[in-house]
Amino acid sequence: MQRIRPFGYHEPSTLREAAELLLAYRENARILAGGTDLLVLMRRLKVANAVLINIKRIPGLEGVTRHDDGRVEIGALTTVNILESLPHPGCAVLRAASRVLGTRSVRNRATIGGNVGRASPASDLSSPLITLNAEACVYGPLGERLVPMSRLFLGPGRPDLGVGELITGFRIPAQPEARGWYLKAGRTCGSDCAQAGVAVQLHLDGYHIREARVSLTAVGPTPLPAPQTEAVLRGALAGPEVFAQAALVAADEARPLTDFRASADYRRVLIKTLTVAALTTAYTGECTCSHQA
Amino acid sequence: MSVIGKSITRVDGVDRVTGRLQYAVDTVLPRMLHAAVVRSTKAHARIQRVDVSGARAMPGVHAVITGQDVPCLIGGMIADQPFLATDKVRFVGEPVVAVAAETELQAQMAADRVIVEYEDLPAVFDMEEALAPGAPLVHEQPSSYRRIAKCQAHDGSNLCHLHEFTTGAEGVERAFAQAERVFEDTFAVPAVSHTAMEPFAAVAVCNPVSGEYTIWAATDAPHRRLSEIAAALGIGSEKIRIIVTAMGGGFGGRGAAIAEMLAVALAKFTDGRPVKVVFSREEVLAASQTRVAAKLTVRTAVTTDGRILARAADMLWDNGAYTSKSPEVAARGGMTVVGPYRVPNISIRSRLVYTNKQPSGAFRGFGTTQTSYACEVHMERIAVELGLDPLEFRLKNGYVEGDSHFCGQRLTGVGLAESLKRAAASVGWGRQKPVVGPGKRYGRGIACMIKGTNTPTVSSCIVRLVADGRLHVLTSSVEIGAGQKTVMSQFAAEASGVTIESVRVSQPDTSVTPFDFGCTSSRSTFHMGNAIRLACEDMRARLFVTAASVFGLPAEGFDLTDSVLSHASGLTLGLREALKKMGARGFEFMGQGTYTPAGSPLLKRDPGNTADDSIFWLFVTHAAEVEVDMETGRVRVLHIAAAHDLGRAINPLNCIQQIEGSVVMGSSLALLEELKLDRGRVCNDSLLDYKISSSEDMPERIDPIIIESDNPEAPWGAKGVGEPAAAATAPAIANAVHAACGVWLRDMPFTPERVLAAIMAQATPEKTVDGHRSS
Repeated sequence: MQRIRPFGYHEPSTLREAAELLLAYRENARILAGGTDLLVLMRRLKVANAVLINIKRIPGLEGVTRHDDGRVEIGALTTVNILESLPHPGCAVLRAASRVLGTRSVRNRATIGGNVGRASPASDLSSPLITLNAEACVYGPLGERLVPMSRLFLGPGRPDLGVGELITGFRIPAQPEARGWYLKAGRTCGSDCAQAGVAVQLHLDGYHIREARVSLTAVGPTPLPAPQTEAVLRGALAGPEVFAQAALVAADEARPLTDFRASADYRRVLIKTLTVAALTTAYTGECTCSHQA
Repeated sequence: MSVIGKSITRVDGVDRVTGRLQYAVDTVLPRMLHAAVVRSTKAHARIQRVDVSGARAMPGVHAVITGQDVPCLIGGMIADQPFLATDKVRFVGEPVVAVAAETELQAQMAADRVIVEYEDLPAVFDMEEALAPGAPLVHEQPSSYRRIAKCQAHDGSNLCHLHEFTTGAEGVERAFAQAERVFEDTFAVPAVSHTAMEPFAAVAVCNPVSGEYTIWAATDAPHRRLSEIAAALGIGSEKIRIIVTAMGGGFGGRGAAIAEMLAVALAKFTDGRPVKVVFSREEVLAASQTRVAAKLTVRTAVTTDGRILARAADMLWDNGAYTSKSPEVAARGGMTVVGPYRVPNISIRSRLVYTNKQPSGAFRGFGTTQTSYACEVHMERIAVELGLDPLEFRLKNGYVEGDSHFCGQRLTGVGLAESLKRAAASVGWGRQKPVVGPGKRYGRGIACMIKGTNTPTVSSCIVRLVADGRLHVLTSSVEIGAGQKTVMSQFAAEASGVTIESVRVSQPDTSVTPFDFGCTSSRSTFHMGNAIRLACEDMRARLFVTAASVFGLPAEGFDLTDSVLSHASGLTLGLREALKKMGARGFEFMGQGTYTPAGSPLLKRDPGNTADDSIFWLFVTHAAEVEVDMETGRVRVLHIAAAHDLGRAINPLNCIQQIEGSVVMGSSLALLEELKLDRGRVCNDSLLDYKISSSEDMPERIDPIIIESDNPEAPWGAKGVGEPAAAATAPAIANAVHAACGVWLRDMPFTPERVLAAIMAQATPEKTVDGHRSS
């Protein structure tokens, strides 16, 4: 039986301490939040010589705040199950994604900071945050900075964070008159990591799409903003024709790879059907079925 | 009151759901050590050097052993598997070094320090390539291995086992030459994992004085495992005792000494301290045993009005690197490719091939999940191309009572036609298709199958009626989770005349409970049921003889029912009270029963016919309703009607649960399951990536239909139900998919990607071949 090998462990009580530990242990340092992904990687030796920095003793990293002007702030340690019932208008895309992330028991532990910070192309929460024009709040030795979600990822497993930096939360601007949705396809109808996923956020002006944001999951080296798809939608009259057209462009815009979970070609097929369905659901209103295809 | 045919609550149900059952992993013994295993990272390589000095120096370590320390080969049919690899490794995941230490972590840390140097050898993964002349040999000299008589060695080749059968080559050739139509299809079935909830685990202790081993493990046939281990170690079987722990699922996967082998190897080197081996899920998926992957080519000659004239099958079965039960799967399992049909001319070639992959072995259905799929999709295509109703086509050719099986046996108790008709009716066969959503297509499909049982085999049983009126049943029939203990209790209560509450069924312990061939081949209910019946009759006879002398009445007038002893003369006494009067303290009435179908008149066969007969045959039909998403290729199973001819239902609820469970397993196999390999390495070695059906993937509706039939030798009419259900589901779904969207699925599993590829290929059709021969 494979066991987790011995590892280093620290419990900083301030962000400053956490940053110092990150600086001290560099590439061996691993931030422990929910641990749903990290502990598995450690047991399977995908992560070796780890020094865990448990940030759950640092106050103020948890919870959702809504400001009067409609802005929403989400702490990095907020667990996914909390996001499932996010009451904020305009955030349906994040709600939908939270409901299809992992299993119930994973959602009860996994955090938004971990899901995003892992920089997996298959992260279910990153694409929705991109479509919400969210920014990641980053704390580090040089102070705090805000990084737009669309620019947070350099490659698989590589968030654009300097040594000693960590994500403390996310800021979502107000989303007036916006409707969004997230759909993913997995190998089973039960929980699975995404073979492909689509997040959409439509800003409407009556029947017209004033602005559209689309981001694709698991079909590129990072969660993938889809500007060409957005261009098709922007200014168009919402409806099946433009949705179908956008879906073709999205399938084209995807940059999928073939692996044992799905072929590149099939991922494109999924992106096409998921895009139509996500746009349709976003436009016509939230529904309970989050799994498609 | 009779308890036969009653849905008695599972006797071990409360213990199971309250977590009180002791599984192998729960075994804790004083001074017990824990094991870790260093496994091969190479598919085929010569071992140049093994350095265990670093491991031996680690804290808490008691033993670090290599293949040199246990120069033993194990295998029930062909003893070709070393406990630990010696000169070379033959698959990724093969055990090379084993460590025993005070804690699991210490064992793991020591294992991490082991250095193994390899020299890569060319490897073979594909069965056809493995059989090609000049292919690298997985085993240099198979003839050097100890083996059973029917497994002939093929030196200089990767052919592990060859099985051929024909009703007469000339007749077969003539039938194909003269047939109005000939059809041929090739099907591929992947290796899958049994995915039992409980991983493999075993604890072994070796008495340093006597050299005797005691093993705690969940195995489906303790007495057979005992012989295999004793033969491998070269010691007498009296020196091994297997105590069977509670089992968290079998499905054929516990039909070989997997964790046992490693625990036994280590136990010899720990000065009498017990050693526990527990597999991780990764090890279960990548380094235990799989279903035999197969490539099956099926040819059939028919008349245009749908009479089958001949069936030829050429089948390749992937043994993997070492041999478990796959020779028998390829041989006896392979014969079921003929299906439950009257076929006058048959020619079968089954070849089992060594490859550098994880070993394969028994899997629920023993070859029928592979052959029934091939046979029934092929049958469907014949029906469709001949313009016949697939149900009528099957009914026209299907076995009926009194038909001769091609082994020469006259078939008794054939519920096939009824199973076909009732399953079909349940899915609305022949009725108009219901309307489904846009982009979706609806289809119905049907598939039937036949499954025999390994014949002849033996089951023995001892019953003890003790002074307090309880009846102890000593049996080696394993409760694999299918309700065996409950059904054995029902048999014992019925046959002895005590109440079911008075019956206690033992856990198997080879030093106490008598021989049983094993909880395999759907055989326990039938065979152990008969053994219990005989043992109870024996016990009753002794009881009545003593009662006659004690009460001064003739023995023949006695009866025992519901734990009340009575006599025709009017005597009526509670059993406990009667026993008190009948003997001194501790006085017991014992009975023993041994059942084997050998010599049964039901087994009459043609002289010279080499096909296997079976003491009972199970007939099963599944009918499916599916919805296919034409855009994504996803198949949603709306409904499975599962009609099972099981003889008589001893415990109907248990039967229904068995059927439902195996339909879920069958649909999971059909739609999802496949071990994906990259040059012999299992890519999906976790349950994240080895997908089994989740509750949301299960068929939306399952209708278990119990079909009853008469087998005169069956205990209270019961045949069996364990295996066949998982086999008929996949072809029923494949045929329903064809009915929905016109594509034939010749590769399992039917993933959305694969179904969509078939739909797309059909949209740009190649020229259809028709006429005398089409494929």
